[in-house]
Amino acid sequence: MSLKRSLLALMAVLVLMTPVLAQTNEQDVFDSTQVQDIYLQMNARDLIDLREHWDSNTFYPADFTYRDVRVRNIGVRSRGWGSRNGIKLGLRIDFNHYVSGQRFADTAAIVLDNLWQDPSMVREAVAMSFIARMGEAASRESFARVFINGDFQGVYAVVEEPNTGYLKRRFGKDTGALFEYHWVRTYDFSALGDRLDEYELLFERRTHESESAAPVYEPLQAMIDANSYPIGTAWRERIEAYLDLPQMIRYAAIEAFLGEIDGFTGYAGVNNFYVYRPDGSTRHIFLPWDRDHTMWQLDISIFERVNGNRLLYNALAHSDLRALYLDTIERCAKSALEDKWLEAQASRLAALVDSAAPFDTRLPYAKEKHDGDVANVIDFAQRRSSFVLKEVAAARKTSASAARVR
Amino acid sequence: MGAAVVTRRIVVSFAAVALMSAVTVRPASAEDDPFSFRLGDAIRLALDARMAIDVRGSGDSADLNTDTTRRRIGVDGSIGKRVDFAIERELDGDHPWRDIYGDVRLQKTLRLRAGQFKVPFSLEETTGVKHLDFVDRSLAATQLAPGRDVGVMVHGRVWRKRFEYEGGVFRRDGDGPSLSHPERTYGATTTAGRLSMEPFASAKRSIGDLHVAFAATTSPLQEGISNLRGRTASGDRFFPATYWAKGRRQRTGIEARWRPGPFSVTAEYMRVVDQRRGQALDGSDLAALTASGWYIAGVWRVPRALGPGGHSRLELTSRVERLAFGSGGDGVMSLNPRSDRVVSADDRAITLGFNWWVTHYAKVLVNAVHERVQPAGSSSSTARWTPVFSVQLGL
Repeated sequence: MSLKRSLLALMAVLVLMTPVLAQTNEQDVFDSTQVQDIYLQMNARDLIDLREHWDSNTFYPADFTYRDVRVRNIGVRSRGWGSRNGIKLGLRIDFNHYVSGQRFADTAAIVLDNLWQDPSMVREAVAMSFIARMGEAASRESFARVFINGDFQGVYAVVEEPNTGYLKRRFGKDTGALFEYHWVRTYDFSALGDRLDEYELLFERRTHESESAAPVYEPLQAMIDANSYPIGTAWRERIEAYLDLPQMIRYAAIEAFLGEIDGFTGYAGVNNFYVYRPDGSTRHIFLPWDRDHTMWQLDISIFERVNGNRLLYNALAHSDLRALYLDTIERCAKSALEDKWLEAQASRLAALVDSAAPFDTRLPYAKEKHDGDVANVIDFAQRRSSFVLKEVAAARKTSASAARVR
Repeated sequence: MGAAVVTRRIVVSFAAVALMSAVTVRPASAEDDPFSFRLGDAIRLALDARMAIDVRGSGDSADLNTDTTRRRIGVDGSIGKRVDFAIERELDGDHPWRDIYGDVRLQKTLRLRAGQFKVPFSLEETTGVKHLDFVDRSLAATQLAPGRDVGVMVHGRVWRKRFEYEGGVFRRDGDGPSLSHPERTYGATTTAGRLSMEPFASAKRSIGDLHVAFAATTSPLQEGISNLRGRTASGDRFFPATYWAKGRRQRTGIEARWRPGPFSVTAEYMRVVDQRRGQALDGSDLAALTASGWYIAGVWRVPRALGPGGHSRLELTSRVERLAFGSGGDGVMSLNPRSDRVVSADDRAITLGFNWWVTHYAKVLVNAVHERVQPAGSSSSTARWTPVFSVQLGL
């Protein structure tokens, strides 16, 4: 083949390949190896209204642009609990709020976390990536520079919300019943009685919204009712019909390793999780949410406030489940130490955030506090394994009846 | 509402009709109207009072809803040969005052009306309830035509009364600010005009009755959520008040009526366009929000009177109509309040019925309304029948 013909063939291949190479992979928005750029276009009046009414859940229309992909007719609203404010808006992006079925990166909604309450700015992303490393379901996360109408709003964490896209990616099917737990009052999985509206208040369904409540909520009610049975065979038989006990133990153990203080054994009761029941099953599993209260305290016990969660407390009274709990924490500790994975992940993400933009002066903490807190997180990543391995060893020596729970 | 309550109200309605039938007969002329009075030579007063009891199906439910409506009293009359007036008030409701106006003849072909009265748009909307052929006005007239408002209007008839003109300025287009939805916008100072013609008035054949009119209104729209919205005959929402608007609201309408012998045919088309200036995400203009509707209605007055006295009559009625919402624009149809291309929606209805004029003062109307509704944002349409029954009493 002549050189000329070869060059022509190569050019033809390149021309044909160009559209493929240039096509944006929407999944890259969750690529945490680089800082993403997200642009929102909103009407100026709506933006003023959003800032003035940051404490409301009103949706505003917007266009969402990532690279060369523009998603029109999306809904944007203020979000958050303690992090909600009008200075650096926490935002929820609903791709299907105005156009039924509209998706981006296979998800119907993402959260732009304003990193308001975490001076390190990386706890959430480090924790979620560690949960995924441990083989459990976790939201995909990355960091992004966010612009509204061309104005830079700061660096945000891009968080995938548990929804049908998340379920399909993780479980292959999205037809089950998904509930988001809402903190309304201190709650510990005690029985809620016969009224379904009590369950609807705490557990907002995020799928099957248009169906009648009874068939959607009754298995969840049965799970919580089963937890009232006396610890022992009766409890075990009843609860296993409605709860994937090993998954719940693994979920709690990973949280315990990460030192979560506002989660399954939170300081104000259980918090920050979703519950999912696959289609055709009555057994529920737990999905993590909002992990910016992890890695605060190096020496927090792996049994801290276990008695604030009656489900976990009852489960750990069973020797095999207690053993699984300790085994999972041990596995977490070893995994975190392996190639210094946790430390490296925290360092890498902190460097990524710092490289994204000059430090955001709208945040309620200064650069010095941020740097100091990054050091705390890295210290946690370096030394947490050692602490929990000692506690696991001690717990294994203790009899099942005496082991627990302060 | 319980069946017993509905039954009781129907029985009460019939009893009232029977009572009215027994005590009154139609006067031979307006001068003989027992509810019309003269004060000296200059002042004439005519009392008016009316009420209706409506019973209607409620959407998909088998329940019937009864409602006592149109409880009104009023007086109209004249002072001398140049001044007419009308006052009418609801007995309840948030906005009880209806007509309050005076009408002065300045010249033979020029009159001036001032006060609160109906904006001159839509034949059906400006027809008094006593003369309506159906329990409810058409969807278009009810939801697209402006209502009453405070204003000043000149009007008169010219060229042997073949042409009638009406032109006025009103405070609003009938809708005021909503307390429950302060974000909604409505037509502000409204300029309205209507030109009616009876082009064959001199003809001795039935074509001489033909009435044709064109009407238009224009109003500025403050920035806000347009209050254009669609409801079915049974009151269900099928197009929400969702979209931002700003600029002008313009209405155009055409109407026609022909009454050959015992038949009458009425038709109207009307269209409302709300501009959406500066309402796009980037501050540019969006395609205008449009609502349009039409109807064709026919009535056959059974020539033979019913019962003794010859005052009881029967009419057979039918109406075909449509009310639709949408916009131009590009892109995906969306409920996004700033979408260039809004989701379309429409309601097509057929009404069949009959009216029984028991006496001049009592009327029973029975309608069956079949609707096929394509709601905004829904991929499928729904169809259903709604029965509507009304007993109307009036002086």
